[in-house]
Formats: sequence, structure tokens, C-alpha cells
Amino acid sequence: MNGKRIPLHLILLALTAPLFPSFSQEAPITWGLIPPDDLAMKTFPDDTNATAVILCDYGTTSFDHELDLVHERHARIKILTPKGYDWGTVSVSLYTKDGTQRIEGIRGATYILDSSGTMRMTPLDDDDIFTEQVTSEETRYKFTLPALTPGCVIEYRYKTITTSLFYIPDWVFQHSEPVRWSEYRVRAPRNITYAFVTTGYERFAISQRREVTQVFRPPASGYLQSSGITDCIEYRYALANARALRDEPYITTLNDYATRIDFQLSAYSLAGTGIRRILQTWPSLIDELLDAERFGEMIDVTGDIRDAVTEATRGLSTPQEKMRAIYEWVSSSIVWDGANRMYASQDLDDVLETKRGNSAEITFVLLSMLKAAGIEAHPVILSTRSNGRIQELYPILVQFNYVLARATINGETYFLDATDPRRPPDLLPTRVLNVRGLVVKKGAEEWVTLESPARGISTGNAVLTIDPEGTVRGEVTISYREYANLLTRRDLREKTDLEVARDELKAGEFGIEVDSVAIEHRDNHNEPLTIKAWISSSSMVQSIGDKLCLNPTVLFRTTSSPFKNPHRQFPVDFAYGRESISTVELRIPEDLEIQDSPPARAYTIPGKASFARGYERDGAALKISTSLNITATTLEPKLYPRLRELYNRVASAHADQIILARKPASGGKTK
Amino acid sequence: MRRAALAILLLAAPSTGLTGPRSGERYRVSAIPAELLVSARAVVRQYDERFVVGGRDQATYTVQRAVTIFERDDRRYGELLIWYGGHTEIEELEGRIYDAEGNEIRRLQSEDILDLPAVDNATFYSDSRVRIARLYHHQYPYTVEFRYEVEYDGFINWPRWYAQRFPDAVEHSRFEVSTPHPLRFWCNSDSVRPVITTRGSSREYVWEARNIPRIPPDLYGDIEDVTPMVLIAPEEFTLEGHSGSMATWSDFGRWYGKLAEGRDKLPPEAVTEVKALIRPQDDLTARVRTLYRYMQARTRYISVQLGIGGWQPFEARYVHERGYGDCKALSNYMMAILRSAKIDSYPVLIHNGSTRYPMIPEFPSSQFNHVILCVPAGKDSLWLECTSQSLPAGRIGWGNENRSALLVGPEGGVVVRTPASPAPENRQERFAYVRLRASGEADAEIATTYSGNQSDRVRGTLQGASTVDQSEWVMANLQFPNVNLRSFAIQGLTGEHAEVIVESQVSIPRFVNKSGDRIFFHPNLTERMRSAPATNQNRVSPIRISYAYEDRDSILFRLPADFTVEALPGSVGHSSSFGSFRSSVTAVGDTAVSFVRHLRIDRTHIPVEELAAYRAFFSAVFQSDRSQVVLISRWARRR
Repeated sequence: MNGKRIPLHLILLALTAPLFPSFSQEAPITWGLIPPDDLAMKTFPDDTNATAVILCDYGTTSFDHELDLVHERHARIKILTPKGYDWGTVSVSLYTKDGTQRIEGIRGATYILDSSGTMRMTPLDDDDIFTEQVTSEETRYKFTLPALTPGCVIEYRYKTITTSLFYIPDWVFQHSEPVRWSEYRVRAPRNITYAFVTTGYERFAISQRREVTQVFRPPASGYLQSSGITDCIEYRYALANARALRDEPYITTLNDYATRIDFQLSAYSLAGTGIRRILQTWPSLIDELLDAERFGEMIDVTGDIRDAVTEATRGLSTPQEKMRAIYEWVSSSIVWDGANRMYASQDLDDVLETKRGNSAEITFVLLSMLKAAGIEAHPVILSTRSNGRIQELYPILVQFNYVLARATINGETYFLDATDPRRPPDLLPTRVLNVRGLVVKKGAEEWVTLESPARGISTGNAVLTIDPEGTVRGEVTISYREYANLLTRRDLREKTDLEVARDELKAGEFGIEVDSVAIEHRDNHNEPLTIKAWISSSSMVQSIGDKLCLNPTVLFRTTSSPFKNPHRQFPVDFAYGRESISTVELRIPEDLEIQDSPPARAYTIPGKASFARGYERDGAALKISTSLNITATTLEPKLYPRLRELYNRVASAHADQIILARKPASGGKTK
Repeated sequence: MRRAALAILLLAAPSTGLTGPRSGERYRVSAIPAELLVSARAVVRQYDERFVVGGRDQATYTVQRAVTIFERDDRRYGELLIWYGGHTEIEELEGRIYDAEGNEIRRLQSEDILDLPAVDNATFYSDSRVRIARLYHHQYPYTVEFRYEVEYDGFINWPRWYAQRFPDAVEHSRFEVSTPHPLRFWCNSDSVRPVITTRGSSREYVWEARNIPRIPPDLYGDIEDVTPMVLIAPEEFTLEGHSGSMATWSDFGRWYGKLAEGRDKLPPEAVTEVKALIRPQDDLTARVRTLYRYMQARTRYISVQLGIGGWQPFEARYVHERGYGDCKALSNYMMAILRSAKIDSYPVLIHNGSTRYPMIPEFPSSQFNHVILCVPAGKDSLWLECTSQSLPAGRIGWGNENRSALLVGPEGGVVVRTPASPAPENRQERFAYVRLRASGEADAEIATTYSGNQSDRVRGTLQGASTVDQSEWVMANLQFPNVNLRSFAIQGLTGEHAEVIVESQVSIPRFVNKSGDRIFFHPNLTERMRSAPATNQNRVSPIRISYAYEDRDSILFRLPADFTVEALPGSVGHSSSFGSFRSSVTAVGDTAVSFVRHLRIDRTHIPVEELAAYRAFFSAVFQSDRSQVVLISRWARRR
């Protein structure tokens, strides 16, 4: 081991100079002073599943004598197993255009206890730090701590300096591993005020607001118009013993559940600027947006827009027709580059010229064309599901990341998002279905619910026969509506018709051959996509002695549940409702009769979800009807056991067998 | 069959160069031969590549590509990705859109171009970048043409050529190489031959193909399985000032050896530490094992692609201090450790993973993506994969097994072959005791032993994982929608053991299906083949299986007291040149049923001609795996 051996008393001496001298209360962590118990820790008693523990994560943000925002972070992490090594690699992305942000003072060290019980330290080297130019505006600084072994403790610190008052770093207190202590302090002169919002499920151990003073030298004191001693507000938030956030199926984003704090510049008053209100009320924020170059100014009836409207709406008269035609024109002409944005980064005419745009640019083209066609339409800003939930308490703009259009015709409103040529105008992409959005319309604060009445609807029917060799043959028709329509159309783009049919029938899993396929409404996304397939299976019927046994569930059959885990931390969020209804008609050959068919089954979570399956004999046929209906878009964790049971019952019912027996010999038929 | 047709087309192709005017005239859609338009979504009009070698460290690569796009969904052909960085630089990039008549509509502007780091999630740092150009239009059909030039300032790899790079039809594709020296090249097919001309002091080699039809959508496999591919390689080369030759494998190995020269020094205290680990009574294998474990405990894999185009390993001293490195750095470090203990070892350049051509031994050139280490020991050399923290010493994983590779010895490179692992070495053996209840529930005790490559997979997932993640893995492996895991234990996860043993006790609430007086259940508790092979695919490429393997299952079912066997599935036995399968269910007295299954796959390459037999074999396995046992109530019998 080449790590430096440091006697404990020397480390203690080095600690007398506090790391963040400007903050009034003692820091919760001191560089290099690793409590022996943390070094010796083998497993984390509060969560034996942890592969790493964030022992302490401490951040501060304050202003320096240039009135730049200085953010310092000091983290200490215990690594318990090699699966926790990822915590030893750190990546910091900064906005470096025109020197807006820079990083300084990256330090890091790895500590271990050697076999004699002595602490050994290996420092982070300059060679361990890498700089990556991501784009002309963004730079990524990456470092990886040396000499990691299970049981080691790592710590690192760095400082970022931002020349703009606007970019005050947020703080996330909770992570995918447990956090013993996480603390964030922010201090700002009274002349510069910030609004902030805390979110999450955990209670803060400390939440303080204090009035303190800070001495500023020029030029900051000049900007602040102070003699030097300046009144400041200091915020201090700390979280203790926070549980690990583990990912679960059907959630929006783990960030929605993490305890965090977000800041936004609210107002400032500096020499020469007078009082500048940044954050006021929702209506004033709307006014600002409407005047913004990359937002409101983008909605503009240019000559090119007028030409596009003429091309798109030729021969149409009613506003509804025109709106649909404009939507179709935009969605099929302009390629979405995949970026979710609230602001444009190129001009409208360039978007039309390059046929390429981010989501905001596509919405602004749509809004401009609707305006040119005389249809009332407004932007609606929102936060996508992966970007997290918004709060409506403070008019904080940075929480939004997306804009779509709302048109109004004869008092009816229509939400429009033209980023996907395969999606009809009345269906919104699931990423925008995130609680509420704000209409950007002069002189009003109007919030709209972003819940889709549309569901994922799949309807199927099948007619099956059994030939004398025991091969099952049949014709299957499945129709997809609303979200199911959209998803299946996407599959058809990536795969062949045969592959899609096989996937939809889970043909591989259930031993079904798809002999031929026909697709209906392939090119008209306003109609339900329909797959017709002619199938056969030689493995479906199993003969057992003189009886035949088979499971004719060829539609929407499930054998596994997405909810295997017996526990659930967060609500189940389906985004939209689902419905699948199927009828399978099994025609029984003349020489056979049904000996046993399973009982009907039903299970309901009132008002949320239901499942039913029934068997009906109809002459020589057996009709099996199945329906699964999820009406609720979200279910609270307390309903999780019932949801899990529902899915288990579905899988179990789908496994039911039907038994056929030879009819007693009659006429010439004997064995 | 397909390849033969292609060969004729290629031989018939005239060898004229690209001389037409730089206008869109020749991209008129009406000029596309009718046979290429059959169900076309896009047609490659022109794919022209020119590689001009100036010297041992200078070359220029020029590409001109034009694609006619017929459908909205194929607008992606208006996107061009150019990978560069290190010793290559993009000198020129132009693009144009033409309408169906060949009239120019728009040219590529700087706003249409993105430039990003080309770093995947597995890489910590690399100087590779990608430039992305995008041109779209909204009236179909239209043609997108790109032209770009890449300047090589030093090289080791030269571009490879494919007659067809996408599944879509190709009107004309061409590869021209101009070099002052005779060119070394290799082609996967006899059907394409270059036309060679001498012009002054340089020679020109031209490969061409015309009117290649679209590859059917169910290709499933690598493009080089179905299309001609040409490799070219320099004889002499210089990379960041380091000159070498790849005229022979020996030369190429010598070059790599020189790059690593002197980088294998350990600090003195490390040498002392290593020496102290060796016990005099240990044999070579035991010593290597001890030192390998020492290396594993001190290091982790971090991919940093730096230094002589990513070819020069970090110094052993650095890896020792920092505790991380990439494959060549960690192999070099391990070599240094072994040297401290007076054990010789050699780096082995290898192509890791499943691919059509892991190494073409008759064509010395840069064909590798990985480095492992070889410790010669008489007939049975020891092979070490130094990037893994979980593999036992001597296991190199299926991605390195059974292939040619280049050992870098003191005298230069030597082609060697890594060991293959036959099916019995990659075993999964399972014993289970299942108690069925009349209620439909089953209680099971299951013990599974994994060895060889099957154990690597399990060990890699479970070693160091949290108890929650381990239990989720155990449950997921049981393939039931609803399982209650009562307890589990895992042995052999750490380096000492050749096998991993997973034991679990579970209850399965709805294990059986009940119907009237009968109970149905699948005696194959866990190892059901998940998917039947589709029989109506027109697959045109062979199947490659990662490794030969063997699965054995023995399960004893204790029946509920009131039930007796009504029907059992018949015994099944199949064997073929690629494997064998046996399955049988037998009654044990009146109270139990025993299930035995044995699947063994010996061959890992199934050529297209044998696909029908392969499908028939697995269809039989699939069907057998789904067969059921029927029990009947004793009371029903008496009635």
C-alpha cells in the first residue's frame, strides 16, 4: 500500500482551520477526520441492504467579494461492497459558456484501515481528474477516487463559482443509498432574495432561517451599497438518517419522492439596477413569458407560416377541420429532435426551413399556424413526468420544461402536441400527463389538469377449432385504441408485421405459430389499428389418457405480474387507464365434449380496477370472456396488496385449463 | 443461395469511377432500377468511399453517400454520424437535399451539425467524439447526399468496407484505395475482387457493387453474414510517433510489447508485499491464484481510453497506487505482480464477445478490443481476465473462450487459441423437493449448482449485491407470478469456489390448476424454455450461442393425500449433432412423482442449412417443458 500514513494527532491539528469560515455554525464534517467507527463499519445496521452509505453530504452557497455565487460541496461516503464503487466516480456538469460557471479546488481521498488497525489515506491525484467538453456551452468534470476497497471511506470536495445570481444550486438530500446526514446552507445578502421550495416525504432534522451579517469588500460592497457589513439571511436545512430510495415499477421519477430543496432568484437591488423583481406573481410571470424572445415572440404569423397554413388547409372551411389539418401538417413535416424544451433555440423560419425542432419549437410553429388560421390558441407550460412534479405555491419558472398548445373553438378546448406523426391530435404523449399545467394567456392565471381521458384499450376476439390431429387453428382479431393504438403503431415502425403479431400474442412463450397477418388502418392513425392473424398451435392441446386438456387463452395472456415485490414505497402511477377485453370462442369437435371448464372469476378494487372471466356454453362452442380494467391512473401504497392480488388472480385465471373427453361411442364411432 | 446471386451481380459490375457532374441530376428518382423499388422505404443511390494513403502516418478518407427516402419513417437516412477523435479529424462536411427530380432544395448549414463526446456509459473517459449532421424534408421521395473527408494523422486501423451497410437496396457502392505500396487486403467472400491499376508511383484498388436488392427484414445476425466485407491494413504504420509493422503477427506483437516496455515496475514495498504472499510449498497454480486474488481485491475496472490511441497501458506503479485501470492496464499490472513472484506471463490481444470474425489469423492487422493475460504452464496454460472482481483465477468468461488471439511474447506476437469449455463444464444442476397441497399451494426446497460460464453469470450479478437484490434475483429465476420466498442461502460467490450454489425455500400459492376433481401441474418447476422458435422466419444468418452448456433438473413431488396420478406425460428423448434432450416423469409409488430433465447443447454455431433441425429440436424441448401431470381425487375414482 502506497497510501500516506498519517498520525491521528496531525489530522486533528489540521482541522483547527474550519473549512467554511464564513458560516456562523460549525460544519457537520471536517476534512480528514474520519470517525474510527465509520472506518471499521462492515455493514450499515439501519439498512443491511446498503452497498454504500452517504455518511455526510454538506453543501453551502454564499456570495464572495465579486458577488459571485460560491457553492462548496463536501461529501463523505462509506463503501461497503464492490457494487458501491460507482459512488467513487463523480461527474459535475457546468454551464461554462462565457465563463458563467467554473470549478475549483477538487480534492478527494480514500481511507482504509490496514491490518494493524491504522488508517491509511490515498489522495486524489490531478491524474484522476478529467475534463470533457460536452458542447460549446457545457463542460463535464469527472473524477474517480483511487484505491477503493470494500469497507473504505471516501471523501471529496469541490467549489463551483457562478457569475450569475440566477444559478443557485439545488440540493437533493436523498439518494438510492441511505443518507446518515445531509445538510445545505444558503446565505444571501438582504438585497438579493430567493424563494425556495422543499419537497419529499422525510422530515427535516433542522430547518432554520437566521439573520446574520457578512463583511463584503469591494467590489461586492459597492454593488450591495453597503459599508461592508451587510445584513444577510441564512437558511439551514438538514436531513438525518434518510432511507434509501429504491426504484419501483410505475412511478413518474424517483426525484418526485426524494427530499430536496429548490431555489429561485426572487428579487435583487444592486447599485445601478434599482429594485428588480424576478419573481412576483403568476400573472406577471405569464406577461414576461409572453414578451420573451424565445417564447411569446416565437408565436408570429410570418410569410412562411401563412404559406404553410395555405398549403395545409386548402379546401377546408370549419375551424375544427383546419385545426386538425394544421396539426397533421406540423406533426408530419417537422421532425422532433427528441428534446423536451420550453424555449425555442432557433427562429420559426429556420424550423420551417430545417424541418427539425425541439418540442417547444414545434409547439410554436403549431401556435403560429393556428393564429394565422384565426383559431384562438395559447401555450400551456408544464413539467414532464421524468422532470418531476411542480409546486404552485411560488411562481418559479425553472420547474417547467415543456410547452404544448391549447386551442379553443366555440368554447371547446383542445390540447395539442405535434411531436409524433403517429399520434392523432386528440391524444397527448404520456410524458405530459403530470398533474397540472399553466396556460400562458395575457391577464389571467389559469391552471389546467393534465390528465388524459384516453386509455390504453385493446379489444380482441378469436375463433378456435381443433382438428383431428389435435392442432388448434384459428383467426384472431385485435383492435387497439387510444394509447394502445399509439404503442402498437410504434412497434410496427420498428418491427415486421409478423414480429408484432407474434409479440402481441406472445407466440413464442405459448407455442403459437402465426401463419399469416393482415394489418388494418396502418396509415390512418385516427382509426384503431387492427391486427388480424391466422394462427395454429400443435402444442396447445395435450392429451392425457383418453382426455384432452388445453388452455385456449390466446389473447392478452399474462404469466407474470409487474408487481412481484411484496412491498411498495410509492404510489403506483399508471399515467393513463387501461382496458383489455377479449372473447375466445372454442369450437368443440363433434366427437368431443367438455368435461370440465373452470369456474367464473372476478376481482374488484372498487372504483379503481376490476377483472372478470366467464365461461359460456353455446351449443358446440365454449365462449370465454375476459376483461381487465384499470380505471384509476394512480393507486396509493395502501391499495398495493390488492393490486398485487388482482394481477396474481389474472395470471392464475389465464392459466386455467379446459378438459375435453371423448363422447361415449355411438354409431360407427368406436375406439 | 442469396450470396451466390450477389456474387454474380458483383462480378458483372463495371469498374468505372465516379465521374458524373456534382449536381442532383443522377439522383432523379426515375433513374432507380425497378427491381430495387420493390417494397423499398429507402434506396442507397451511391456509397462511394475513397482512402488515399500518403505515408506511414498520413491518409485521407473521403465518403460520398446519397440515399433516396420514400417514407416518413425513414427520415433517419438524413442523419449522418461521423466518429472521430484522437488521431483523426474531420476536414470537410457537406450535405444537400434534392427533390425527386434531382433539384437541389437545401444545403447543410452549421446549425444542422452537432458535435458530442462519443462516450458510452461503460467508459469513464475517452477522446472519441461524434459529429452528427441532420437533413430532413417533408415531401417524399427526396434524396439526401453527404460528402465528408476525414484526415488521418497516424493510424493503426484502416476503414473496412461493406458492399451494403444497411438492409436497404444499393444502386452503387464503391471502395477505392490508393497507396504507394502493395495493399494487403482480406475479403470474407470470393465473389468480390478488386480491379488494380498502377498510376505513377501509386496503385489503385477498386471494389464495386451495383444493384444489390434489399436484405429481407428477418436477417437476424451480423451484416457480414450476408454481405461482402473487405478489410485493408497497413504494413508499416505510425501512431503518435510510435512506428511499427503489421506485416506479420510477430511484428505487430513486437510493437505492442514495445509500447508496454518498462511500464511494469512496481514500487519496492509492493514487491515485498507480493513476495510475502507466496508460500514456498505452493505450486504454480496456487501462487497465481493467490496473486490474482490480491490484484482483484486492490483494483476495479475503469475504462480510460488515453495514450497512443488507447494502446499504451498505464504504468503498473500507477495502477498499484490508484487501484483502477482498463483491460490493458490491469493485465500489465497483473503481469508486474507475477514478475515480482518470478512468474512469467504475457499479454494476449483478443476480440471479446460474440461476433462473426473474432480474429482472422491469416490477416495480421488490428482486430482486437480487449487484453487478457496468459501464464504458460506446460500444456495447460493459465489464462487470466484481469478486469473482473468476481471471476475465480483461470476463468476468462465465454467472451474470451475458444478463439484465436495474439500473445505478445518476448520475440513478438504469436497466434494462440484460448481454451474452449465443453458443455459439462458449464453446468446448471438443480434438485428440488416439492410438497403439493390440495389447496393448490406448493412448498418447495430448491438447490441449484452453477458451474463454469453459468456460474460466472450468477456470480457477476450476486457478488456484493444487497440481500434485497439477491432475493429478487432468486424469485425472478423461479418464473412464477407469485412466489413467497421463505429463506435462501448462496454459497461460492467469492473467488475460492468453482461453483455457486443457491438454495431456497419457497411457497407458491397457486402452483396447481384445479378443475373439478382434477389437479394439473407442470412438473418442470423452473427450467421451462421461455420461447418456442418461430418456424416461418426466413432467417438468412446463422445462430450463434454464447457457449456450450448443460442443464440437469431432478424434482420429486410429494402428492396431496387425497390425490393419485391419473396421467403422466410420456418420456421424451432427442439427440442431434448440436445437442441432446431427455425428459421423463415417473410415479414413485402411489404418493410421489419424479421429474428428470437433461438438456445439453454442444455446438455454438448453427449454420443456416441446419436451422430447420435446430428449430425441430427446440420445438420438442418447448413442448415437453409445457407438459402436465394430472392428478385425480381418490374420491372421484370410487364414485
